[in-house]
Parts: sequence; structure tokens; C-alpha cells
Amino acid sequence: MVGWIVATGWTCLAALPQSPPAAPTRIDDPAALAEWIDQQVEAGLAAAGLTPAPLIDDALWLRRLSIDVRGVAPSGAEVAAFLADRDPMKRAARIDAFLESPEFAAHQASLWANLLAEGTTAKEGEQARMWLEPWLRQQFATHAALGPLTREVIAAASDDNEPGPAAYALIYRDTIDTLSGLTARHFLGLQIQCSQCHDDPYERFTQQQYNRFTAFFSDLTVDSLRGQSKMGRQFRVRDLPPEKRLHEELRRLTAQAGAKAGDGDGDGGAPAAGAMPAAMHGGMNGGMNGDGAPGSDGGKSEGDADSAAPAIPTVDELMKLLAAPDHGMAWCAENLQLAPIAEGLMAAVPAGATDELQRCIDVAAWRVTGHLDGRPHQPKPGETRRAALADWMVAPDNPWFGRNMANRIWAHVMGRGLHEPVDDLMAKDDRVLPALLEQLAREFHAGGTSFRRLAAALLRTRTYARGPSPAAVPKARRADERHFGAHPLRPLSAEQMLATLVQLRPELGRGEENERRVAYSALDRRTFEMKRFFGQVEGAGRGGADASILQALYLMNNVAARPSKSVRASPAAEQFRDVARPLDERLAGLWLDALSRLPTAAEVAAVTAAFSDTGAGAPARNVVEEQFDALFWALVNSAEFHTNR
Amino acid sequence: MHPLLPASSRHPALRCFTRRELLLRLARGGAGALAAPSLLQLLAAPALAADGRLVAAPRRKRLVLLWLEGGPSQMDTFDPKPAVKQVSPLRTIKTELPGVEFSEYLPQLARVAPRLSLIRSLTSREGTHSRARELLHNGFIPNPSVRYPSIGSIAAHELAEQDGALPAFIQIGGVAPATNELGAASEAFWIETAGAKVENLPPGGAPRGPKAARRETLRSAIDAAFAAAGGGEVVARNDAQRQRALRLMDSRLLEVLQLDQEQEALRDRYGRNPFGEGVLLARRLIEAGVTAVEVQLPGWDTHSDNFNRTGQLCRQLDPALATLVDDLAQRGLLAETLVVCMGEFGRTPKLVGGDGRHHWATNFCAVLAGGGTKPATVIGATDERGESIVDRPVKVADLFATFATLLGIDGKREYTTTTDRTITLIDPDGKPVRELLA
Repeated sequence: MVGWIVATGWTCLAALPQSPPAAPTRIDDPAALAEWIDQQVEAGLAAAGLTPAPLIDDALWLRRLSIDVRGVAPSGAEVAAFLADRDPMKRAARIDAFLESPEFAAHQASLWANLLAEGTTAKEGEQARMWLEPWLRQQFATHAALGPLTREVIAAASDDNEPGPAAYALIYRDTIDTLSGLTARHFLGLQIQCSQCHDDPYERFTQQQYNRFTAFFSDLTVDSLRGQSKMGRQFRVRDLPPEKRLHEELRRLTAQAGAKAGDGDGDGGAPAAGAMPAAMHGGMNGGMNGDGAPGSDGGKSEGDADSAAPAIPTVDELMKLLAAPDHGMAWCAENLQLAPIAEGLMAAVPAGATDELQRCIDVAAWRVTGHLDGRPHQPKPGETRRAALADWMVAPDNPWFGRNMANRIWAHVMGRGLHEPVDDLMAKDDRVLPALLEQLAREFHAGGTSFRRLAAALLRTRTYARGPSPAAVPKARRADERHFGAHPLRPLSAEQMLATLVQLRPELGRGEENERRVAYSALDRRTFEMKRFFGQVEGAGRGGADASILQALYLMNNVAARPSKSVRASPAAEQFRDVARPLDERLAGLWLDALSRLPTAAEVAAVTAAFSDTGAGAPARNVVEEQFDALFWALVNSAEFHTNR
Repeated sequence: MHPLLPASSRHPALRCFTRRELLLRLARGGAGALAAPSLLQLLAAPALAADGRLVAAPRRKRLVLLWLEGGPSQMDTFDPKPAVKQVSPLRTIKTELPGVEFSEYLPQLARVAPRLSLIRSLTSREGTHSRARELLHNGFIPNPSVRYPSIGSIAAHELAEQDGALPAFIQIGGVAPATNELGAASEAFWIETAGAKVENLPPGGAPRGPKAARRETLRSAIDAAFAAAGGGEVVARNDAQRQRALRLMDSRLLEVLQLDQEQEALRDRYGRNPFGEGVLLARRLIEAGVTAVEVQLPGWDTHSDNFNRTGQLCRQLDPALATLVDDLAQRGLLAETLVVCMGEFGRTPKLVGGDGRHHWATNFCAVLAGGGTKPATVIGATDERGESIVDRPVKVADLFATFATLLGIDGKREYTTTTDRTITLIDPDGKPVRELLA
């Protein structure tokens, strides 16, 4: 027994990061924090023997900033104004202005909605976004800190047709193992799902730790309510302790077995087919926890505040019930017998009821909660398990939350995490500048877990303003990027691509239902459908896949790549039509609108050559229009257009 | 040849015929010039035999995956348990294989059973749709840091011609597929449903003429400026993608998608429903040179109303799969086309709520045919209640090792992901199921 305690404790310790966070030190001024970050990065580069790439110019910087923060390239007018601005603090002013913009809130909301809805199919995902995005957008618009935001997402309940943060629990109501795995990954940067079926061979987390973490979600109960809402069915998301739910289920089933009635009774609403209590759904791979004694946790009540809570049935009582005809097994059959059944348990249980009993014990296994860092869970009266988990997660002494958020914010801005992969903080492979990540985690907490504060500092750094690697060989380029001596090139995400196209060519954004804007996205439903052409989905700073062939076909052949009425009426078009002016001036507006920069001398020369077939003298109007069409198409189809430089 | 396409250099002995050249040859040579079973096959890979006649070049293996989204009930399809009434009230029918029965929902498949290989002992630990779907498509336990390619993408990557005009991997139905680590060239090209309009594919092929040429020149100049400023890798990848798009525009894809070129009677046999037409389209695509086709049939997630819904779905699956196998055999394509039919898991042998079945991954089924499988074979067995495997369990990794062997792919080949991990094409833990190999 002692050996077991020591063994489990040891594994818990092995799972912790090397140094727990020290007391926070505050650097209040974002510029000072930025300078400090740059010093760390540049020292790291020097130590690695690498030269940082040159800084990019104002035009490229503005485009990068706009795409990263607002999810859309800047308009030509914005770029021109920025280039003409003589204010030495103009970059800092732009950063703050963009972080205040509604586009920032929409972009971040979309990013986080994609992350949170990751485990769903496309159709469910759309529904999930409809619920999550409006709420998320409001949070980012009011600069809600990530700590409180996380807490709400994890612990929220709801019983109306605008679930808001409770939509997260709602999406995964059928699969709380997915819920627990995604929560650990997105909010803590931890991969725990390997531990679901067996102890992780890399000794990060044991199966028992996985069960005890997942147990925090076991109170989650989702019922489908009758009545229509504009989003479809109404759901109630709440927390019920397992004993209550277990007994309600058993009572219902004995009633069913006797009366052969239809829907459930006494469950406070008619559960829809499939809206069964979440803990009992597919994926109960927990198997036995490490205790070895069947039902040993089942007998104890976890200090449940509700004094009327009945005791959990004993094994004998359960067996009697399970021996009842068909319906008695209904809710047990809900569970999956996916994990191998421990040999010891099988020996203790009478033959013939092993599978059913295993499943009941699986439910019991999720009765015991425990935090991943070994800290015990002291339940407080009136506090739900999900709330207790949320409090533990966002606390400043949580070993992972601060690191994870700081790393993700860094990755989003810099194109690559300080720790890669971003999803797995325990992975040993890629750790550059670990001390910097520790400090940023402390800063993150010290600044009240504010996304904006950390982002404002990161965006002010020289590191953020580096150009691409000048190295000739891909391996050398990767090394430069890894040490943040150069900025990686990334494709625009689907949302960014769409927003940028629509800005360039506004007719794309208007559908038949122009006025009825669906709240979940900055663009209306019709353009949401267009996203299927753009295969890339936003991730947290992940580099990426090539554009799909559907995107290539779209850009080459669709009317989207031809000038529309508003494009032809734009100042850039007027500028181009003025044939008296030199070509580089005529092209300027078009280049600024499409690529957020001025044309190079080489480009001007190439365009001159391409148009030289019109002969001497001013070309006819229709020829000028054709030339404009060709240029517009070429710009939209260029590699640069869909790259975040 | 489109002026922007590079000359095909992969098979110097074979010229790349344009459609026009081919038809001219046929016109001159008459019927005697044709030694290939079908015109579609000929157009796919024309070659000159030693005697100057046109023949279809020898081709590599193909894959057709019929994906049953939601997890089909094995008791009510391929692994019935007639001895135990509580398991299923359906009757069973004897197949043409002695001792082997299917549920009454699958009469045509019962008839073609001698051509099939059936696994009844597939097993996994994944009981949630998203994870199981990934596992049964990719052959690896899902890992969020790796976008594993599906078997279709793997086949496309390993077996397809380098500069083929048609996409190497096409998915019909379901939802738009995600990107994967192997890159754009082997990603699934998605067709929403047979008969759907493929958007942004101009019917006259890639645009030609001076205007198109000038657009290309201008784009090329802009790309050159970007390359000079450090964007060379992106420009190169973009160029490759554009080449594929141009080839696709010039390809016969739109023509192959025309199902009305098929005989009415055959179309009836496949079934005049989206799935049946999708399977017929898959056969046409395979004939035309596509390496892998996946056709999805959703709706098998029968937590309620299991019998009606499974019955409805089987009325689509049964004729489509049976006709596909017969049709491929008749055209001499069955030996080189691996047909796989499966879902992400099975369903609980015990009924829930009287008429529903929940997820069940302990034992479920997969049906294979052609592509070098041993026909008239049943692998594995389950107990009399269908609740456990009593003989020859097959892990998903084993199934995928089998696919690799049948398709002629080296599953141990490694590649590097975008997050700098090195992984193999196929899970190295799997061992091919020898009993399935002919």
C-alpha cells in the first residue's frame, strides 16, 4: 500500500514541470517588456551563432500586424496613411488601435471558437460556433482576461437558448472524455488522452490521474428542453452529483422495466435520444483506478453538500438490478467496454455479470476527483466540480495555465511557439528559451491574465518585426525561425483569406440576406459557405498546409478574381486609368489595395513589357480596362496575396 | 498540351496523348486499333504496344473505400446472431458461402459473398465518433499534434502518377475533408454528391489565348518579386498547386462525372440514390485513372429506431456494393482494385430503449473485395451473443498493414510532419492478416 502511494506520488511529481513559478515581477510598461523580450531573444541568437534577419519596412509590418490582430489585411488607404505618418510612435499607436478594434474581437473569437469546437464534425461545428462566437466576441471586445474567460467556459451552466460559454460543455455532452482531453490540451497544453486506456508509457500521467481529472466533469448533465428557439432545441446545462443521477437513472429504469413506459420521468425534462447523462456515454475507457478494490470509492460520499443525497447502491444491490430483464441494463449498455478489464476485478466478480459491473464501476471510478499536479480536491459547499476545476486551472500557482497561454499568445503572434508543439508542454523535443517562457508565464499572471497586455508587448518587439530568413537552404531557414531570428511565412487562414478578399471586393460579402447578419461570424452565412474553398482552418500559430486545389480553382476561375463594380469605381482604378501619369504611380493604388505595398521596380518593368503590345500613344479605354482586369486577377492569384508575411 | 504545362518526363517511352491525338489515331486505325477493354481505360493510360496497337498501360493498384459513417450495426448486417432472439429480431439469409449467413437486409451481398472477404473480429478502443473516424481512416490512434493522412491520401501519394491530370484521390459525399501531412497533391478532392456541379471548373478547359497568357505573365512577375524578397518556397508550392489545377481543368473530370454515359440498366442496379450513383461514379473514376475514391454513406448512428434506419441504409448499400464488385469483375478491374467497406465501430448487441443501439468497438466488421484479397474468406468469429471475439481478433493497425500489403505500399516509409516529427505511413504495430492475402 505504501509502495503504491509512493509510486503514484512519484509519477505525479515526474509529471510536474521542473521549476514551479516564482513570485511574479511586474514590468508595467509594454515597451519595457518588449525590450526585455528582445534582449532574451537576441542573446539566444548570439548563443546559437545566428544572425537575426533584417527588420521589415512599415508597409509589410502594417500588413502583418493587421492580419495577426484583426484577421484582415489593411486597406490600401490605411497603408498609404501609415506610410505618410511622421509620428515616431506610430507603430505603438497602431498596435493599440488594432487591439481596440471590433475586428480584433471577431478574429480572436473565431480563433478560440475553432479551438473549442475542434472535436466536432463540420455540421455540429457550425452549430457550436453559432453559440460560442457571439459570447467570445463580447469577451474580447471588453478585453475580458483569459482567466475569467476560461473559468466561465469550463464551469458555466445555462438553461436558455443562448448558452454562451456553456456551449462548450454542450458540444461535448455525449463524450466527456473528449471534453476532458480537449480542456487539458487547450487550456493547459497537456496531452492526457493517452492515459485514458493505460498508463502513459512516457510516464506523464497515469490512468488514475486521467480518471480523477475527468471526474471533474462527471457532474455535467445536459437535458434537451421542449420548445423552439431560433437556434433549434433548447438545452439545460447543469451539474448534478453522480449519486443523484445514478439514482434517478435506476429509478427510471425500474419504472420502465415495470411499466414499459416511454420517455424518462423524474429527470426534470424529457431527455432527447442521445442526451443521456454525460458521464455514462461512449468512451468510458477509465477501467479501474489504481486502488484495486472494486467499488471502494463507490461507498464513500465525496463530502457532497446535499444532505438528502442517497448513498450509492452497494455492489449487491447493483447486481440485483442488473439481473433484471432488458431495461435494467439499458444505461449500463450505454457505456463502452473499451478498456481491458483488470484481472483482479474479474476474479472478484461472479461470472455472467462482469461486463455490466465493470461499467458501473467505471461510473464509480469517475467519482473521485484529483488535480493533475497531485493537489487534493477539497470540495466546498455549493461549489460544483467544474467550478473547482476552473479555479484550480486559472490560479497563479497552476503549473501549466500561464505557460500554456503565454506560449499560445506568443505562437499566434510570432508564427511559432516558444515551446513546440503548442499542444504538448510536456513534450521534450523543442524548447527554445525556456527561461523566457517562464518569465512570460509570470508576467501573464501578474498582468491579471490579460491577453491584451501580453500581446501589446509582443507586438512591440523587434522580434515581431523581423523579415523572413535570408538563408538559401531550408534547414538553415528553419533554424533561424526556430530561434526567432526570422519570421516564418504562413498561409492566410480561411477566415483571414475571406475577410481580405471581401475587403478588396465588397460584393463578395453580400448575399441575398444582406441585412440579416448571423451573429456568429463577422461575415454573413453565404460567405461562411465559401470557406469550404479555403481549406486551412485557423490554429494557434501553426504553420501549415498548402492551399487546397479548390482554393486554386476558385481564385483562378471564379468571379471573385475579377474586378467588381465597386472595384472599378475605386480610387485605385481611377489612378490606373490616368494614362498621363508614369506607370509606377498608376499601379500604386492597386498594389496597395491588394498587397499592402508599393510595386517594385522589377514589377513595374515587367508590367511595362506586358503592356507594350498596345503600341505608341494612349491606349483606348477598353484596352485600359482589360489591362486593369488582368492586373487585378494577377494580384489576387499571386502567392503573396494569400501569405501572411 | 497546355503551353504552361511542363512536358511529361516520367515515362519517356510513353507519349502523353492529348485527347485529340488519340481520337485521330482511332479514326485512322479503326476498331482494330483498340485492344483495351474500355475507352475510359484507354484514355486513362494509353500506350503503344510493340505491334503499334493502342493498349492500356499496366496500372498500379486502386482503392475504393465505402465509408459507413456513424457505425453500422454488425448484428443487423454482416454478423447476425440468429440463435439469440434478444440480439436481433431480424431473420438471416444464407449466403453463397456455406455456413455463412448475413442479415435479411443484404440479399445481393449474400449472393456475391464468394467474391468477398469478411472480417468479423475487428476491434478497437475508440468509441467516440471523431476519434474512431480518424482511427479507421488513418490507421493510427488520433494524436492532435499530427494530421495523419487517410488511407486514400496514402494510396494517392504512393501510387498515383506524378503529373496526372485527374486528382489522385476523390471523396464523394460526407463533409469536406481536412488537410493532412502528406501535402496538397494527395489530399482528397471533394465532390459533394454524384451529379453535383463542380464549381470553378470551366467546361472548355483551362483558359487559353493572349489574354490568359498576359494574366499569367503579370502574375509571374508579382511572384518573382515575392520570391526575391524571401518567399521562394511559397511561390514554388503555389506554382505546383496551380499546375495541378490547370491539369485538372484540362482533364476529363467533367466528362467522367457524366453518369448518363452509362447504361440505364446498370444505373438501376447501382441504385438511383445519391450513394448508389456515387459508387457508380467511383467505378468510372477508377477506370479513368483516379487512384483512390471514397464514397460516404452517413446515417448509421442508430441510437434509436435502429431497425428502420439500418434497413433503409442497407437498401442503398446492398445493391451498390454488390453491383460494384460484379461490375469491376466484369471489366477485369477487380484484381487491381481493393474495395473496402466499413464504419468507425459497430453497435451494442443489446438493444437500448427497445429499438436503439449505442456504440460498440469491441467487435465489428469490415468487408473487403478484390485488390489481391482472398475471396470467400471469413476472418474471425464472435461469441453467440456477439459480445466478444472468440477467434482471431484484428486490430485496426493490422487492418492497415493488410491494406499496405495489398496495395503494394511500403508502410514503413517515413516522412516528416510540419511539427518536425518523423512518422511512418502505416502504424508499425500492425501485422498484415495473412489469411486475407490471396
